[in-house]
Amino acid sequence: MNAYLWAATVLLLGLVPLLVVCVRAPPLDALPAVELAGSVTALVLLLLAEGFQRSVYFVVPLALAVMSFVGAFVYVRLLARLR
Amino acid sequence: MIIGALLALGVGVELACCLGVLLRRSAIDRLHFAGAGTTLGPLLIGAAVLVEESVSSAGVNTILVVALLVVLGPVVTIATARLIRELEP
Repeated sequence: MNAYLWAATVLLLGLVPLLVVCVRAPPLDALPAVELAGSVTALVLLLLAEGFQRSVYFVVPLALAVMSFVGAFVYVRLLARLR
Repeated sequence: MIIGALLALGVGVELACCLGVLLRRSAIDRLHFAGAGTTLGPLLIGAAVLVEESVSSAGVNTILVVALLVVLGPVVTIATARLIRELEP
């Protein structure tokens, strides 16, 4: 394993506290955790793509970065309508 | 050497932000840590990848991913902060 794969593995552990917040907190308090989880996952995929030395894998974090932004906005709009 | 330092810094910042989101109680406090996690960490980790790749297809994709996270992250953070201000008493 090279440094990028180690970094991706350690960074994956950061999703655990975010998952705890998403499960236990009310929806409005959990929204920042959802947003951060999208960024962390995109970075993990970026590190895995570099660690495996496959340039085609770099498309995956690119798509996730866009989709996590769209998903977070959908949640913001949904919570605003539910108030 | 420099790649390891950038990776360690980037991963450390991201983990600190994740723990901050867990330990804080109010939504607006958690949003501060989430906002930091979408700007500082991606810049450091993207720099570590760019040191290795420089200007290649993977390097350009890395720049795009980091730019998207750094530019769009604060947009979502601001929208969330406005929502919290409207909903919280």
